Amino acid sequence: MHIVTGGCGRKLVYIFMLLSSLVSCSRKGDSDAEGQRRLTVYTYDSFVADWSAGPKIGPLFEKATGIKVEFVAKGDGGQLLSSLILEGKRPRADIALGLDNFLAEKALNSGLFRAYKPAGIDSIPAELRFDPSNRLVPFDYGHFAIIWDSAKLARPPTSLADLVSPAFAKKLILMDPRSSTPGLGFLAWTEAAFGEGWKDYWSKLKPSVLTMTPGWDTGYGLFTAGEAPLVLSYATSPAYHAETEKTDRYRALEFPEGHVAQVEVAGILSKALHPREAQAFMDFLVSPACQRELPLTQWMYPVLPGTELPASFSAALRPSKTLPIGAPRAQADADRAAEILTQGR
Amino acid sequence: MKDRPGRELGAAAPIVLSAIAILAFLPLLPIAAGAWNLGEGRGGIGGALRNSLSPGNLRALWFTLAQAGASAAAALAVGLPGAWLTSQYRFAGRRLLKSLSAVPFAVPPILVVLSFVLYYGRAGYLNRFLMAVFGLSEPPLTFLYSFWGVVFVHGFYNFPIILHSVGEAWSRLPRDGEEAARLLGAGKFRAFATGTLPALIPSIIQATGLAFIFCFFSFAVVLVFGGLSGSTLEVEVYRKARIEADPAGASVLALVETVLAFVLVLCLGLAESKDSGSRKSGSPSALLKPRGRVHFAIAAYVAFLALFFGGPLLALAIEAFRIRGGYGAGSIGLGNFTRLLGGPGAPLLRAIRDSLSTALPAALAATVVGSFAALALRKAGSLGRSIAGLPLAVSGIVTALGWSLLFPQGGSGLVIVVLSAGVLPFVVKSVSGALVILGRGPAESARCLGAGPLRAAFGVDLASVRPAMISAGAFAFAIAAGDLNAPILLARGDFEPVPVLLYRLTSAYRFPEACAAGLLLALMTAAAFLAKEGRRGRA
Repeated sequence: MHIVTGGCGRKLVYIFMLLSSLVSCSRKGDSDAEGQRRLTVYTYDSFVADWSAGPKIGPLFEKATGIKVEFVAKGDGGQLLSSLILEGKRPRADIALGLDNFLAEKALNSGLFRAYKPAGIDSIPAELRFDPSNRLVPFDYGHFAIIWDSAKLARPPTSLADLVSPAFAKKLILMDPRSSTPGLGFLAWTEAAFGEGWKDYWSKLKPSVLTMTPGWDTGYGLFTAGEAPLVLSYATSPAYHAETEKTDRYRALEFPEGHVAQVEVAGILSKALHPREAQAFMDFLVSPACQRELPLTQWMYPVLPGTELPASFSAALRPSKTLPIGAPRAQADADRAAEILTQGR
Repeated sequence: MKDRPGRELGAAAPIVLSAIAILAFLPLLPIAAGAWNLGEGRGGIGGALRNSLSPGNLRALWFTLAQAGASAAAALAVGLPGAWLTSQYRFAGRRLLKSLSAVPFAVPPILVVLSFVLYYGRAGYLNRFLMAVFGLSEPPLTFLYSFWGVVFVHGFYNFPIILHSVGEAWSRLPRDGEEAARLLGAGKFRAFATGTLPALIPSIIQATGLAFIFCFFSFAVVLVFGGLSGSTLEVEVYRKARIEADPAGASVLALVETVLAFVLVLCLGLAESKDSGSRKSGSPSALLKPRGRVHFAIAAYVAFLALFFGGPLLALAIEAFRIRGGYGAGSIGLGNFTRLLGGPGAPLLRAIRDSLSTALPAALAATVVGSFAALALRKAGSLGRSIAGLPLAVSGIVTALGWSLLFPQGGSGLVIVVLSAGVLPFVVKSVSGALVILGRGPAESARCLGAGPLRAAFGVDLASVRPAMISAGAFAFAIAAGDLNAPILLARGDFEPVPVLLYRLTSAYRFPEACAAGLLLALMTAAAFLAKEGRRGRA
């Protein structure tokens, strides 16, 4: 090989400088229109995707109030809360949207939220308003349920208790209670259903579990790839398949033990820079105009009763028996639960 | 800069090392500080430290080490024959093999999991084939969900590191050592064991060590396939950072994890330095024309990879074109792509643009800075080289969280900085490995002829290891393009590179579209490798 003097490194530096200047040029500058009222909302990542709720309700809110809202994605719900806690006294947002009943204790103890009672909150069912101080206001919810692939399994389980039967050996995909919200939800569900007997239940359930995935996305992905006919998900999941794939193949199973819900909440930060705009947003969040956008973007039930649901939601399950939310206990027991499933193999 | 004779480039080593160490540990500071300020619950930092040494975590640590060790060994076993064949012989598909084999770097873990399940799973192609052929009613292959399943998947996920790095070193190894041994009557194996193998040891240790570290931090693969046989430390970090919103616990555990990983990196560095005696040679030897049994070896290896590694990738590609619906298997078409290209805002085109505009500059910056660092660290010894690998030893989740706290405004510029810091150790390692093989001969000759140290370094040494630099750059691009943590926590507003798009698709039920985006991401990085190989062909 010939010895090339000097050129290579320098060329790379030039290319890099050129590219980085291109990148910085293509970034949009902050268009700070005079007198524009604005608002910053921290949320989780999937809220801001193109097809998701953020890009739908942002413009609606601006049209209704003249306030420009910016959604800033902070990873998932847990990372959102971690960011808020670590930013502490100097938050750069007015509202945090997308925490849930499983993160609520930590969020309320942090002292980061202020109380506000949005107009119309009284029409929201009491069992969904788990924070009586109104610092965290619910905007949508969904119950956890086992989803059944009717094309792969003839007889579905009829109850939580039935799920341990040998007929379902290696047929269930769960999520890890230590790293995912549905996983934690399932633990809370079994605790609410069996009380102290939940540990016993988990060790009996073990042979039915094919695998335990770190998050909902992987678990549900394996399920729709046909790897197992039963998966832990939301009672509203079948509505997605009905809406986009026009199929009723995947069904949510109603269990007589009852179901536990995930309730998603938003709250105004104590140190919000735009408190009045934030209040307007909270009013809007639980108003019919916003609520009716949620089913097809969040695939959850709106909290406002009487909100018109799309036809595909007839495929979703609305359980007749609901269980109280035991989130903090489930948090403490997550290690034990994972240990029960992983022991002795 | 003016050359000052007598001043070695090595004098810059302490500066380079501190810069790298700062890049690695800086993001941990705001988390630790925040944890300190909070000072509530579980006895603060001390309590978190005690917590991190719980029996459960120690068991997780053991499991993590065991699976990473076995996985790295598996990757070595799969990759080494490929390193030999692609570095010595000219055959059809060689370039394709080298570029395709790098694809897994860019395929995110969720798609790796999905592709192996689609192929090896209970309802996968392989099992369905075997059941149809042998008339079985139950799937015969059920090893996937076990310790060995994890090792298997990791082996095929990480063998490209071995194939690439070892192949790179092998191609520039002089053949005279082996030929001399053969002339003296040694058998083929003996000639390899005494002539070739010792010279390859540094690159083998580096590449296997890297595979080990990747498996050490592996998360989705370990949990999905080995979830019922054990857990990993990274799960606990993840859980504390995300689910429990316990930054103190997360940072302490991440520190424990980092120290462990660093000790590993250090051990590797020590083992490697024992064998870094100066060697002659430099430029790649010409490729040989395969003869006799080598033909058979090539055919067998290509068939082996096609069956075990090509299969899952193909399954993933098929999924990208499959339109799901109703009770049947669905249909095949371009629907997943057209929906992504034509949907609101054409998310896929935008995602590709955003990916290129961050991964490309990040890879270039890392290549330039990393090559310089490799030169400066030449004399720094194994401790120095290990410090250069430090950023590899810090949990990705915690790093990204830390940077986002340091620079809450974020922005794509910051994403570039963080990505290049993340891939820097990789470049340093790869270029250092090539420099070890190059030895100090050429640069010293140049200096004797009157060249200054910088000129000798850049003009002679870096020019000679240019293939290794380009290779490192391509790897850096692949890793940067596939990274999710940095863009998801540091980007603002409508910035959506392909991994973020993919993540959003999978968390919105849209798996076939995620496969389509994943296929594109894989092709994008494969293109980088093909381009590199093309350059190499002309050189």
